[in-house]
Amino acid sequence: MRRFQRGDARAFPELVRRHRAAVFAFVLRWTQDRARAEDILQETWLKVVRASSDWSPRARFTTWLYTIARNACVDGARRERARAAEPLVTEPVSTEAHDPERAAAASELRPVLEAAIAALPDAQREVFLLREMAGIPFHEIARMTGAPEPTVKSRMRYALEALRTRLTAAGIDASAGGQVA
Amino acid sequence: MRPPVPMHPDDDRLLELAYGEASTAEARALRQHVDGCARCRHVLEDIAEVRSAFRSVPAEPAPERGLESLLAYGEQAAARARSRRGGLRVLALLSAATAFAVVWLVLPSPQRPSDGLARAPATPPTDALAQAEVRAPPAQGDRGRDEVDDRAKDSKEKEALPEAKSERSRNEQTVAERRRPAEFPKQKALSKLDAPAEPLKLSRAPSDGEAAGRAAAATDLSGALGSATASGGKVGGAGAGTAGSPSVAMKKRSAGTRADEGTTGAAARPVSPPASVVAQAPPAPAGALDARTAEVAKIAAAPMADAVASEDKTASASGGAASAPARNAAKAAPTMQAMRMGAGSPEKQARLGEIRKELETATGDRRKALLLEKCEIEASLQLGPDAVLTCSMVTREFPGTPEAKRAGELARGFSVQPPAQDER
Repeated sequence: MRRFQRGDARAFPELVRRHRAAVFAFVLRWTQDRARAEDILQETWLKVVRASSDWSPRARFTTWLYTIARNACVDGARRERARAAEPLVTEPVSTEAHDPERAAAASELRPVLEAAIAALPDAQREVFLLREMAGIPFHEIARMTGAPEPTVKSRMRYALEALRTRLTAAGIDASAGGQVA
Repeated sequence: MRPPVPMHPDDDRLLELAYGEASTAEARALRQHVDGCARCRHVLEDIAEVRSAFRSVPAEPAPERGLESLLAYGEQAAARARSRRGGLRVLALLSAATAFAVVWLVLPSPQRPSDGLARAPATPPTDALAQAEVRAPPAQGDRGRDEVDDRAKDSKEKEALPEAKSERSRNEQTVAERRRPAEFPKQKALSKLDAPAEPLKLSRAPSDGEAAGRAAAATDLSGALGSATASGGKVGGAGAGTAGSPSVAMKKRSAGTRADEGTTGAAARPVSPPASVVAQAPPAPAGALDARTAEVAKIAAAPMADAVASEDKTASASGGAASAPARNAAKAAPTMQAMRMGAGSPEKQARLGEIRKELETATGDRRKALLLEKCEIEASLQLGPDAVLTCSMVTREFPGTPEAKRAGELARGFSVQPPAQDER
């Protein structure tokens, strides 16, 4: 990011290559809607470019990046609600894993997992995705969301518990790495 | 007798351990406990299982849609950053050189700083030597000895003085004396600027937009000042605001700038450059622009520049390959807002722009404060739907806070209730 700030044209494609897929996965799990996720992904990266001069090396780039993505998700959700709400149509997500066994397992697990994540309350889903997908530490999530750190951890624990309950109820053996029981 | 069962660690500690956020010492202690505690081991296993299941589902690949235009946009931004950095470097050097030259020429000679330029190999006259010794006394402990030495050597040979301080002072004095006749015309010419009271304003480097607006005046002035402005047209241009000579002032007025507007005149509406120029102009360095000038320039250029800048940015971002929704997401909002806010106060509009930009990255308390401020400004500008949406963000994201209460009141002022708060 520092190279990009200095005007190194090769730095931005490198940033995009490293983080774009992860940000998309994060946004997709947040929104549960592929078209919206694509829009928010683009919006996020445009904001990264526009706000690049504001980034300070004191902040971790990933935290800064996911803060932008998270705010874009929150704003997107707000816009959606303000539009008053056709029911969300969630496109079935494709499985493109190359390993057939893994793909088979994932194809069964994915809808259950996606549904379980979608069923989480917003605050819990937010913490879970920021920690699990973006790898942002709890104290930074607390700063990002404006919630106290113990609250963030509580939300995380509740999220994990709820996911486990749902997976078990769907007959998924979480202990076997998501194998169908 | 059995040893006492150690207390179970807090679940938050176990969570930190599971996610590798516990400190080394704490992690060691926790592991020791977990090894002998089935309950805590079970908690950790539960966490690990969910994480394992989550990770076993491969992430969706990111879409290619919009990637090309995004990369093109990034490349343009990098190019802008490069040119801005290069421009800033040149401006900084020019500013420093100009400031130095102006300060040097304008300051009365006794106040001039002594530096390398002031040192000249010259033999001072005796009276100058005496003055130098009075102005630059040696250290207290050596004073008596130095005085004796200096007097003795002065009477013998003037050029062999051992004390560096005395020599330096004498040299400054001598060069100052020698320069006066040569500098006289320059000082006379510069005195028209009537600027010694505010030398820093003379050295201020204008932004590109200001430079475009001032080009004619600067040219006229530098012509009038002759060699005095050889250190750069910027001296003439920037100093034009305080010009005292009638002829210079007339020329300046004919170039479209009002002298009574001081250094901010060029940035004010009558001579402000086209919005596209302002929008593309790189921001001036913080230290180079005085706050008042920057603020006036920003306010003068804000409404059009915002609209054009957002158009330019999104146009370059979309490039043609971008998706329509992505283009709309990036483009529609700022443009529409700029149009809607056309009748509002320029200060508030400018502030709204700043808030929007900062909100993209702000978190926590800062985000809360910014959202509330945005909500208040939008309410004061009678931007009903925007105010209600912003206020609803405050109530939703920061429920139970005084800011949420205030936002709720503002939203109610538009007879629209903000959406219900989310379950958190």
